[in-house]
Amino acid sequence: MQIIKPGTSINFIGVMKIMGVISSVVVLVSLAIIFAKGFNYGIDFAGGVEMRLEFDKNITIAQVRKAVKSGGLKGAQVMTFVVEGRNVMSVKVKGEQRVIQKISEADPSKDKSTDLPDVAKVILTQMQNSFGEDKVSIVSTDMVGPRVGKDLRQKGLFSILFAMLGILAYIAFRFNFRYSPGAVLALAHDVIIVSCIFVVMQKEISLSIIAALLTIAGYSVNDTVVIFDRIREGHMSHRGKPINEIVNRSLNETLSRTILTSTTTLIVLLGIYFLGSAIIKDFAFAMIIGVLVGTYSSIFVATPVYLFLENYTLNRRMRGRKK
Amino acid sequence: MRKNLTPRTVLVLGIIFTCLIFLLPNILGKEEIKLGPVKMQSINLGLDLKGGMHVILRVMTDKAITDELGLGVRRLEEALEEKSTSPTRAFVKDDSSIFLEFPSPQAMNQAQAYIKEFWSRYSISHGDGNSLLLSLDAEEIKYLKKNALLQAKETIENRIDEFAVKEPQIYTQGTDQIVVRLPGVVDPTRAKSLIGRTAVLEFKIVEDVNKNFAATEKQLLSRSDGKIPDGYGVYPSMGEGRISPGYYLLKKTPDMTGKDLVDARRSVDQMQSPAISFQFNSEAGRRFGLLTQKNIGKPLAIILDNKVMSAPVIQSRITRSGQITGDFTLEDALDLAIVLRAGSLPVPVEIEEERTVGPSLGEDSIRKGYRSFALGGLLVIMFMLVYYRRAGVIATSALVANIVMIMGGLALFGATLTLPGIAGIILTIGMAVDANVIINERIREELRTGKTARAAVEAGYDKALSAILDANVTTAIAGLVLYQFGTGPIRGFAVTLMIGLASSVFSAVIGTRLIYDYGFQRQREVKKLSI
Repeated sequence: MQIIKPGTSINFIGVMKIMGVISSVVVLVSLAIIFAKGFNYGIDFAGGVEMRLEFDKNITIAQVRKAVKSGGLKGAQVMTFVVEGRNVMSVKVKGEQRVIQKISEADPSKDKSTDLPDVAKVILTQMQNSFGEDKVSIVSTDMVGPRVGKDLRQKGLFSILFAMLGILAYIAFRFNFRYSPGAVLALAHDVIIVSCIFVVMQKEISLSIIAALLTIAGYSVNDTVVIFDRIREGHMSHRGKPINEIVNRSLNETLSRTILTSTTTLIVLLGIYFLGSAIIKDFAFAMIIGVLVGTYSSIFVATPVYLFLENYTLNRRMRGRKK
Repeated sequence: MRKNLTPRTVLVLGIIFTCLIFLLPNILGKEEIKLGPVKMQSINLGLDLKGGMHVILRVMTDKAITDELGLGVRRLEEALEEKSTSPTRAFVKDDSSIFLEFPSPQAMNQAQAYIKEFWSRYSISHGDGNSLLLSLDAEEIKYLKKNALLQAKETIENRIDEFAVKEPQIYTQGTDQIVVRLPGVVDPTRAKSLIGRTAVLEFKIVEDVNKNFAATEKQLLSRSDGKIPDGYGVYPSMGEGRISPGYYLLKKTPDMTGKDLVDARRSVDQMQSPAISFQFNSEAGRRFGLLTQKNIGKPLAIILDNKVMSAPVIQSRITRSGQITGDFTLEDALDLAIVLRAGSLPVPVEIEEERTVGPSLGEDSIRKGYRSFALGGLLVIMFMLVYYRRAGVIATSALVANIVMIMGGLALFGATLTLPGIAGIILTIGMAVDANVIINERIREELRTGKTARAAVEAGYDKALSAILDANVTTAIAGLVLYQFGTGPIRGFAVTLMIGLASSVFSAVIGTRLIYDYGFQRQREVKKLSI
């Protein structure tokens, strides 16, 4: 079986300019959106408490919301959390230091403030008082203090930058410096777009999303490197041919591999997304977008940037000779 | 030309066989199997899969320095008094140095000479007038902080020991953190009462109930000119249960402390509500006897972590044993007894992060992980078989070998399988076929140029090698960074990803090649390749 017929020759070079403009615009708009709206940090980074509680079958989310509200927990969010055959909801309070409990609307001086480590107890007691002690049980609790969150935010950003630097250096070492910027721009393109989609969809940035972004970075470069490898080889076997032709041929030759690998990776990711635990659904989601964007960017971001740099140095050399 | 395939065969089979051996405990559903000197354990499951509690504590190591300086002030005063060069003022300044002021330059010089000789841990500098500033050396500070951290860890270990948890893990992290991992513990509210509590127990005589106790802090201070007298402190009483809420004005230095306890047990008081009974060692019992005899009729404040738990009036001389009553639940009383028995923390700690997963959620994650693993794997295998036919069979065998090697690798290195780790394995299935795809596509290309089957396979493998290596190394760079960055579950993901990358390169480049080579040896003239 074959997806791409042998001898296929799609003119990638021809559409590169348009694609380049589109990609640039998309990345710039994405960056603008990210800066304008900001990330919706989960408690891993923002600090706070998230409790997953199993309730009696008959208790609805509306009832839980009401109970949380009457408990006066400021800014608490209630969501359903899918665990097969059970009625689990997550109650989340984001906060830096302590959580304020409003006892009376009229009198703010009665507000009770609770340190983060004790918030879980407050939530549980509130739910038990509302629904009865045997109707509620803890499924999981996460509490992240403010210092940890801040630390992690910084570490997360640095880790993505470090990964980029490492990859840049490796490619410069294995290929040459004209290849590196393309690969890194392509992975930056992927990471930015996936981040933007998370911002637009108001999905939370958690530790596992950072893991997904780093994996996307790895995947994106993986794809790019296979194409670059072909171009490198093309330079040897088609010496003297115009560079554009070599690049276009390499893209066509690797096209079926690019599509096949993306397909198998997407298959398993869709499996995780639809059948996996609710905890890693967002991780799978980020990866799915990342694989799609990463496949595109290897062809339409990494390669054109390389081509530009190659032509640029070539032209300079030619000009130098004329003089 | 006939290649010698034996070395490679031994290598490939050896690795797969080793992995299978190390997976035996998992295959047989046992926790541990001993084969002679080799002990094999089933794959560690992370707390997010088997349930348990993970807590990161921050140890307030700065407090160790202030404590040390406070102690230094007292000792210095005593020592200097003996030398009759008593300072006029002595206190801890800005939590970082000791301030000493002397009545005359002579006294100061005398004191300075003495300190220089016998208190070499301090470096001396001159302040305004006849004053000296003593500060601890950087090395000394580092040592004290480290010591506080290690002591805190030891105390927490002792407390956990009493709490009957299977395989607890307690270790320090960085300069001021302690990580506590308790598999199987699901009640997060006990975290604080058991490991987060400083548990400094103090006994102080309330000198004059009418003067030293009031309902509000303001009332209390109004009796002493609106400010706290030197050497005294204000201590709130819990105000829950049977003890009246309010504030006590008490000496800062305790009359007795919990350091001298030899035992503490949960018991009940006269009202049959939970309480803690304690026992002093004999020396402390003697002191306690003297103290209580001298103060019959006065209340004795029992203070835990700067809060007055109760203040019973002393009826008669008490020596070695006593009881702490208060508004405790059964569990509170039990935990408090454990904590008192194990000793107090040298400095307070703060819970920085806490993650608890109930066993049911972990089971759900494993079940769902297994399901998506099975479905993803099956679809990929079907895809490979349809697309590459016989070569797809080879790719599939590489895939299966891969899974064995990843799981075996986890068992071999004692790595921990986490929920993201499961995702990593599933993801690796998708990416592991990549190496095979690169090779197979390459072989197809070579075949199209008119090469014989054998030549095409050889050229395909040779040319694919650089792409496979470079592509996987770059992904591994991202994995390495991820490992550095992440903790717990994320690390688990990075580990499976990297083991997966290594095993997929190995199985594609060496393993599948071997299968082709065997095929060619059996059939010298292969006309057509099913690819």
